[in-house]
Amino acid sequence: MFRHFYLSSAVAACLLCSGASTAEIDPMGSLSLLASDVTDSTGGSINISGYVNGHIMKHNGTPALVSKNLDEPLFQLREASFFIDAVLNDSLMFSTELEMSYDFSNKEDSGRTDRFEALLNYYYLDLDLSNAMDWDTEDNGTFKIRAGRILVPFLQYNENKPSFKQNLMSQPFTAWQLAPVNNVAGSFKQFGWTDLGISFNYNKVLGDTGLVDVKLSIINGLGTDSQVLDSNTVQLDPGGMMKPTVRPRDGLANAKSGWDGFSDVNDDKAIVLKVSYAPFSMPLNVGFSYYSGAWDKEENHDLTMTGAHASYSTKDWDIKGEYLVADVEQTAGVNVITVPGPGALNTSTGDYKMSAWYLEGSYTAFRYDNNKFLKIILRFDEVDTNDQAAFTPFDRSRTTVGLEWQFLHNIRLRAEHQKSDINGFENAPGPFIAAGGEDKVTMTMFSLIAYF
Amino acid sequence: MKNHIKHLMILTMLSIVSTNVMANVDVYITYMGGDRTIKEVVKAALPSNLRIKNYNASALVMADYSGKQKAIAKLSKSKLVVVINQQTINILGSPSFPNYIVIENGDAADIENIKAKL
Repeated sequence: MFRHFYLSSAVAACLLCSGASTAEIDPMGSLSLLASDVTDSTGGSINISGYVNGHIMKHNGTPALVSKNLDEPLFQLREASFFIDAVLNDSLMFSTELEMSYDFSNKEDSGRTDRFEALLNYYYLDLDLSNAMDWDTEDNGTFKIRAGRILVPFLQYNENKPSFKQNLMSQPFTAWQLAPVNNVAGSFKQFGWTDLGISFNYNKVLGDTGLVDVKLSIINGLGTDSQVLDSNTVQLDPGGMMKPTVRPRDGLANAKSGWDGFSDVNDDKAIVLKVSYAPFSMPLNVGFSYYSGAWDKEENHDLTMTGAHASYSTKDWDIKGEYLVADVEQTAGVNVITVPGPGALNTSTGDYKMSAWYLEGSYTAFRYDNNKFLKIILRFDEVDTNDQAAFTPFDRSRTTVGLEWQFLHNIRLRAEHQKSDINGFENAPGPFIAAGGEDKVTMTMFSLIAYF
Repeated sequence: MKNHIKHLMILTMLSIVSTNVMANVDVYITYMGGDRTIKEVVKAALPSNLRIKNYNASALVMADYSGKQKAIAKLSKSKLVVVINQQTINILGSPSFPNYIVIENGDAADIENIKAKL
């Protein structure tokens, strides 16, 4: 698989570096033209944009599982996305996002059951109430209501997840393990963290000082049918006859409501609050987020998350970070894993905390031909998905280095390499080590991203 | 899947009911925080029979990734977009509206140019 990727990359590079002028190459041109035609033919009512990215990803140091082996290379059309905004009138808009994915990898390696998947990631109505009521927004601010399946406004990453808006393809731990943004590579269920609900958005310009923005949302919330919140299970493959089923304690990735679900496991609604401030004197955006809701069927146990975000962006520099703590109420004791295959016991730790943070910086070192550039990226992040557990492979710190080259006006090549150090590895159970799990995990990924 | 279709049907019905309830805008005056005075001058100078609205693009510093597309789509539906200062065009991502004009200070020449575009 690697050989095919390198071969196709080499052919593409030869084409790009040949005598042909890159100004003549516009692989996304037909899509741009189509989007433009749709807008024109509808009198500007329907507007389409989108992006597509593919990657090859290779881990080292992960344990072999019965259903997947991430140490084998994964080659995937990770996301093909179309954003559609329909202007219904001056104050009302309908928006949706169609996302698709295709897995070229061996199914035994990726764990994906279907190669092709597609879904509507979100679909909602946006009502600009202040505009409809002709308010003086200078004095009273702007007030909007969004209803439907919405991207959950929590921290900064989830509402800005498309790969061409980010510096790295891999998600920071705050988004991957806690705020459950994306789990595409191994399991295509839902790209962003979206949920059915309603969101009220108020923002006001504070004179020449800055802009304050408040989003209060009521959504179904995160939850599971299980007696434990991080209910995801995997079956280790250490060789031999015994293939134990365990809970990897991988955070909240498995706690999202189904993308087509009306409700989560209970009738309790979750409250999400996000307050942000952007001063006009500098390109800074800071804010905090809060989430609270019951996650279990009996509505006896709450999940509460508090976090903060900050970003500083100039033409060449982009520095950003998030910090997040989650308090989980949970009953302690023995909990049987009931999945097909050999049964297993899981010990619930009772109440526990999860935490994660990341700090990422990027610098555009070279610019040429108007909008082409070369960017270097560095990110540090840490996560601990259960502070009471003796061992979880998701108690780890990680360093990511990356390079991004925009070689056409709307196409980028991205390379990134990660090294993770698992904390408390001396407590790792025997089958985890026998299956190939190591205290240091590396990942290398090459991505091609195009947008229109 | 059933719920998913149900959600879409409800949203579609709401959309149809809501469409055309409000009249379209003739002129959108698009500006950023510091240009509030120019915006008022331009609005006062334009014919009173026009339906004129303001759009403060400062809010886009905090918009999500589709925020600019949404703003551009909304503004594009008006007959004319008056953009105050190049900085405002830049924050919108340099779009090409069907009919727009960029002005600097709202002086008599700017007003004449706007009227010529109507």
